[in-house]
Amino acid sequence: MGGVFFAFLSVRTLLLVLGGAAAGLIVLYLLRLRRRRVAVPFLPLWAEATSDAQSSALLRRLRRLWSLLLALAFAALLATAAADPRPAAHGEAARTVVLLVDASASMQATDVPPAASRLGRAVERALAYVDGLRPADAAMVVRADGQVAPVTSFTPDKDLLREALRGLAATDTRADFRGALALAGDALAGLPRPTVAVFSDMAVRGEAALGLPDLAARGVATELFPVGSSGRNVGITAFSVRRYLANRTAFEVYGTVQNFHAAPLRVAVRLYLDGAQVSERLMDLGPRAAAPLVEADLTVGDVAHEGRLEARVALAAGGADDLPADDVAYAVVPPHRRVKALIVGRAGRENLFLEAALVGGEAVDYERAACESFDATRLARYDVAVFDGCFPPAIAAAGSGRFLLLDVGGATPVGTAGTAATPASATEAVPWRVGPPVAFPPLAPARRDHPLLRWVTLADVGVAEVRPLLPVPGRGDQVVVTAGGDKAAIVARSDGAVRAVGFGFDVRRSDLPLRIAFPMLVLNTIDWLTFSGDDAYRASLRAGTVFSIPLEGAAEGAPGVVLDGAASRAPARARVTFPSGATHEVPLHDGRAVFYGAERGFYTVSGGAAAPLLLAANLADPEESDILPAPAFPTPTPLSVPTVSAAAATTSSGSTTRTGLPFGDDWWRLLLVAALVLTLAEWLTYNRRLTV
Amino acid sequence: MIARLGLASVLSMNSVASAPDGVLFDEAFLKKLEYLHIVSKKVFSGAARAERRSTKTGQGVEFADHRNYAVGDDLRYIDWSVYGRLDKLLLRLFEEEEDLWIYFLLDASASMSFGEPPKFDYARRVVAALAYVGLANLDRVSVAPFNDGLGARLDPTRGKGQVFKVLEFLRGARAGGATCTAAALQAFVHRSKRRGLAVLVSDLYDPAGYEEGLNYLRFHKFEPYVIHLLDPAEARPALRGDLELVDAETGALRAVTVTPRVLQRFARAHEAYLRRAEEFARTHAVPYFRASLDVPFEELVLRIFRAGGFVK
Repeated sequence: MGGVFFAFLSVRTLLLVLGGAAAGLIVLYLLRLRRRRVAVPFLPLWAEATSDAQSSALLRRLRRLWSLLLALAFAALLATAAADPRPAAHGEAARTVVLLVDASASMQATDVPPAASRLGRAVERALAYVDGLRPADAAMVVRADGQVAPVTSFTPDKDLLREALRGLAATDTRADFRGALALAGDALAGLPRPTVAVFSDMAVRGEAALGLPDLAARGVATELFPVGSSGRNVGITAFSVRRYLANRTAFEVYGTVQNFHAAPLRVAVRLYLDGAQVSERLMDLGPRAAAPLVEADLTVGDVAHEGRLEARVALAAGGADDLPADDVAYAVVPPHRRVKALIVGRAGRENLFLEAALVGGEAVDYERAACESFDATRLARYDVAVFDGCFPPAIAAAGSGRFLLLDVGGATPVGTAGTAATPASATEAVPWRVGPPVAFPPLAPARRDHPLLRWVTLADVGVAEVRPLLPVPGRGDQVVVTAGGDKAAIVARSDGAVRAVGFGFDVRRSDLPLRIAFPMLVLNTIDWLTFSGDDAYRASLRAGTVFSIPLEGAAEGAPGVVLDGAASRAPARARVTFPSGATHEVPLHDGRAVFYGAERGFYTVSGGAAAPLLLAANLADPEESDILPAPAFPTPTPLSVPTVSAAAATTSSGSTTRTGLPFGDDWWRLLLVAALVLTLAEWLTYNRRLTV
Repeated sequence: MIARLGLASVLSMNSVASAPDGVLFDEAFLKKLEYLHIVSKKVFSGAARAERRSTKTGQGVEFADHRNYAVGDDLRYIDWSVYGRLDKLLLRLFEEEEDLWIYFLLDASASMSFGEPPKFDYARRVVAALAYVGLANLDRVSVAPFNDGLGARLDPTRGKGQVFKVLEFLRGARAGGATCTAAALQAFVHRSKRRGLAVLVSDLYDPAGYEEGLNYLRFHKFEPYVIHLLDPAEARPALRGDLELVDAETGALRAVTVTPRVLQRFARAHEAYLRRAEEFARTHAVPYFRASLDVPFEELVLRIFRAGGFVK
C-alpha cells in the first residue's frame, strides 16, 4: 500500500482528536465506578455464590484495564474512520479516469439478472466505481456505441457522474471501441494518473481490441469490468425485399438467420406486411450456423403501395433468447411510381401500337399532343416525352429531361407539318444525326445486357428502312440495336440529367409492333428513361451509420423534365421521423438528407417535392449479435505509468474491489465495522446489564 | 349475632376499619377461610374432635388405667367390679382431655418483606387460615411474631368467635429487623408454659441459623412444624452488572459483578440452602412444608391438612 493518507482530517487534527478522546476516557475510568445498590433478602447466599469471583482483586483490576483499552480502541477507530483514511498509493496524486461504458446493441442482452440488461449491470459497476473515487479524482463518462460521445466533462462531482451513468441507454449500433479508446486517450493526454475504466461485455472481435495496446502505449492505465457471459442468441443478420421487375405486385424476401449459440436451435420466422402475418416457417439452425431466409411470390395488392415488412424470429420451443435487438428486422416494399408520359405525334397519325404497349404497362399514364400545336411548357408536368415523327427545337440543348424519339430520321420540328425531308436547321436540333437509309437491314442487339433489351428478342424482325443514328462522342451514347451489322438502329443516351432513346426507324414500317418484343421494348425504354435508382428495391439501412438519403426535388438536378434550365428551389433541411417517434430536422447536402440513425425500425424522411420517403434500418451486424464475450480479451499493461489495474479486480460477477479489500478505498467503512465488532466483544465480555 | 351474619360479612365490616391492611384479609380471603374450614372437617371426618387427648389421666370419659386407692380419692372412681374379683380397691383412671395449644411463630424480619406479594403477607394469610381452622376446632391459638427477639404476642385464645382478634393482631404485625431464630424461640419457650404445636412460618433466612431455635422447641416438648416460605424470584434474581448488594436485615454490603455464571452459582447456592433446611427437618422428625409464593395459600393449607398430623 505504501502508507495511508487522510482525506477528511489532517494528521494533526486526527492526533488531537485521538488525544482528547483518550484523555477523557482515562479521566472517566479514573473516577471510581459507583455501583448501584440493590437490597437483597439474604446476603450470605450471594457471598457463597461470588466467593471465587470476589477472591481475585487482581483479575478485577485487569478486567477494568481491559475495559479501558477497549474503550480507547473504540474511540480510536471512530476518530480514524471520521478522518477518512485511504491508501497512500491512491492519495499521492489525483486520478483522472474515463468511464467508458459500452452502449452498443449487444449490451441490450438480458443474461445478467437481476439487472435488466448488460448495460444496466455495467452501469451498476460503474456506479460502484464512482463511489470508490477519491474526492480529488476527476472522471468523465464516455458512451461507446456507434457514435462515441463524451457524456460529461472531467468532473469530481460524483452526483453528476452518477446521473450521467444512469441516463445511458443501449442503442442498436455497434460499439466503435477503437474510436472510443482513441477519444479516451486524447482526453487523458497530459492529465495526471490517466486511467480508462471500460465497462463492457467485451463482445468485440478483431481489430476493435487493438485500441487497448494503443492506449497502453500512451501511458494510460486500463481497467476492464466485463459483464455478461451468455452467447445464447439467434438473430436476423440480413433482411431485404425486392419487387419482381416482371410483376411489380409481387415481391421476394431475402435474409439471413443466424444462430450464435453453441447448441442447435429451432426457430420460427414470421413475416408481417403492414402488421398482418403473411408467412411463417420453421428453421433448424446448427450451432453457430447461418441459414438463408428466402420467401418468394409474396404479393402486395397495389403496385403503388409502400409496404412495411417485418421479420420476427423466435425460438420454436418458446421463450426468448438473450438479445431481443436482432429478433426483428425491417424492410420497405417500395412503391412502384406511376409514370406520366406525353406522346407527341402528328395529327391523324396516332401510333396505336405505341399506345397499346403503354397501356400494357402497369404504371404508365399517357396523354397525347399534336406536333403542330405542341407547347413545350407542358413537358415539365411529365416524366417522359415520346416524340413520334417530330421533335421540339431545343431538345438537343436541353439540360435535363427524359425523351423517346421514334423515327429520328423522319421527324420534323414541332410546329411544322413536315414531310420526310428534314430541314438542315431541324437536323441540327435533334440529338443525333442520321446516316444514309438502309433498306431491310437485319436488326441485332448491340449490347444484350442493356436494360432496354431485357426479355426482348429481335430475331427476324423486319424493317422496311432504317436511318441509322450517329452517336455523339462525349454525350454518353450507347448503341443498343444495330441494323445491318454496324449501323445504330437504337441509341440510348445518358448524359447527366438528360436521358434519351432514339429509334432510327419507323416502327409502323416494321413488323416489330406485331411481336411480343415490342411492348417489352417500349416498357423497358420507359423504365430506363424514368429510372432514378432501382425503385423495385429499397435497401435496408444499418443502424449506427450515417444515412445519406437522396430526396427528389430537394436539389437541382433532381428528376423531372426541365427544358428551360430553371431548377426547383431545394429546401435547406429535411424532416426525419425516427422509429422512436421523435422528429428532427436534418441538413440537406446535394439533395440528400444526411443524418445519423442509431435506432432500428422505420424512418420517414420528408423534404423536397416528393412524397415522404419510408426507410428501414436494422441492426444487421453479426458481430453485435454474437454476444458471447471474447474468450481472451487482451489487457495490456501501460508502458510508463504504474497501473492501478493490477490491484483492480476484473471479475465477471463480483463487485469492484480496486484495492483487494471488501470496501475498496473506503477504509472508514471497515473501521466502523471493526468498532461495531469491538462493541459486541465488549458487551459479550462485560455483559452489560440488560434488565436492571 | 355473629352466627346470623356469617363470618365473611362480619369480618368484612371489621376489615373496613383496618384500612392499611384491609386488602390482606378481604372478603374473598374470608370466604376461603370458611371453605378451608369445611374442607378440614371432611379431611378429618370420623376423627374430628374438638379436643386433643393429652397424655395425662384425669377427668376424661375414656378409660385409661387403674391405680391403687389412696386416701382422699374420689370414691366415685373406685372400680367396684375389680374389688369384687380381686378384693383390692383400685381407682379407675381416665384420660384427661385438654385443649390443643397451637402457637404460630411468625417470622417478622425484614427479609420477609421481599417478594411479590411480600412473603410476610403470604405468611400472615397462612397463619390466619390455620388459626381459623384451629379456633373452629376449639383449639387454643396463639400468634407470636419474632425477628431477632420475640415481639408482642397474641395470647392464647379459643373459639371460632375469636378469629377477629387473630386477624386484627395479624393485621397490625409489621416486618422489620434482623433475624435471630434461636434467641426468639428461646424466649418463646421460656414464656410459654403450656406445650403444644409450634408452627414456625419463616423464610429461614437467619445468618446464625435456624436449627438451634427449632431444637429449643423440640427439647422443651413442643411439636415444631416448619412452613418454609420461598419466593421463586429470589432464586432467579433479575440482576446484571456491577452492583453493591445490601443485606436487608444486617445492612452488610458486598460488591459483586453479576454475570450469568454468578447467577447460576447463586441458584445452586439457593437450592442447596433449601435442601439443607429440608434435610434438617427430615432428620429431626420435624414436619416441613415448603411454600412458594406462586402457589395460592389455600393450596398450601390443604396440603398441610392432607399431610396430616397438624390437627389430631
